[in-house]
Amino acid sequence: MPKVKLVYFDARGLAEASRLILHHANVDFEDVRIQHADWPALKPKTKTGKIPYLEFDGHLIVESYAMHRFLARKYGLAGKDEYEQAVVDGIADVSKDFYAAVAPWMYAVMGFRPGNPEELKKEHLYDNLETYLPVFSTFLKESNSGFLAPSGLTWADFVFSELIITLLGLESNVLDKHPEFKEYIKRVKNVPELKEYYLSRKE
Amino acid sequence: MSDVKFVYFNVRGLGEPARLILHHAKVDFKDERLTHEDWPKLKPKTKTGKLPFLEYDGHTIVESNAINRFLARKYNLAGKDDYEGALIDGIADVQKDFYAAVAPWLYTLLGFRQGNPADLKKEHLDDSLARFLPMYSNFLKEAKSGFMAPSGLSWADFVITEFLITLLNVEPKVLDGHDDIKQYLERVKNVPQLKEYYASRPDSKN
Repeated sequence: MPKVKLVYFDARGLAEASRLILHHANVDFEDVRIQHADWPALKPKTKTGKIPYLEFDGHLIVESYAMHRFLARKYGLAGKDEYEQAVVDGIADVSKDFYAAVAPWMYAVMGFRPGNPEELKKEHLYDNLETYLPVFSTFLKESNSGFLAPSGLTWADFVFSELIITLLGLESNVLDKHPEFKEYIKRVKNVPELKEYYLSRKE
Repeated sequence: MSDVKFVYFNVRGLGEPARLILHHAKVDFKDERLTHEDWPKLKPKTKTGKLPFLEYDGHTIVESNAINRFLARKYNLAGKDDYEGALIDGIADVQKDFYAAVAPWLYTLLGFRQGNPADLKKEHLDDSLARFLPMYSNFLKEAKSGFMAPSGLSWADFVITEFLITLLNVEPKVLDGHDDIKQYLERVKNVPQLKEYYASRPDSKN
């Protein structure tokens, strides 16, 4: 068993997809959660001044998506061949664009950035829900698997579902026009290898 | 030779790294460049309404970094093993953050968005250069190969240098005081397999 340590804040945030991959594969890992007060002291000691980072078998990996992709490839959640891996990479990149587009509103609501959430809501939340949710509906429809990729569950499902779970938590009507995503979230949370983890983790 | 078609606008933009990977590997491909007039007709027929996309051996691949990574893996520009592959992915992600940080200023300067570039310059260009160029210097120092990854040239070098070229086109002083990065840029442009392409390729401001 390789020695695995994941370091991030005590939140789902940008690291949860990696935690989910590791739990799904039943890999023992040290799930280090940094308190915000401790972060300034640790920051200069990290490679790029950012978390999450992953230590895997003596190697250091930084950048959330690089971590997710590395672990997904190791543990069978990256797509069945190079073509599907490219599809999964692409879907995950669209999810990243969606995240970046809603972030100004999301971060203002969470208090991470200045700004009046009410003023930012239309342009950053609602307009982006209209732009992006149909794209993901198409991915789901085309895959025919109930997940975003044709061969089933992949790490793209983790990054996307975590984002819409967060949005739902901040604004309960975000999926009202797209009930298929409410079903989709249930489906991801009921994946047998992860059911217990989803029930026991804090939101 | 497999059937390869790459579709993008007639600019370097987010498409050039894929073209560079294909030229570096001497792969025959159709380099389709759309005009802005052609695009509205084609847009609804595309998978996600965006360019670039790649058609490869009957498969369609979208999203620039997914395309870049797929081609790089096929043509040996994705690092020597999974760990280096992950390092390169991470560096390319840092570049994506750099791009996103500069974009509000760059897009208004290029006329893609409304706004006064001068108002946006300090927060989006100057502050971003101060944050990201030192990271690139560090990656170069750690790699020791003259490129971003220890084993040499990779697709991360293409995404980074194409963006630096764009910045230099609009603001010639951006690399002043960063000789290591100026030299790195020259080094990439002088890679033997690409020297000719760089000298003859259709240029564009962005």
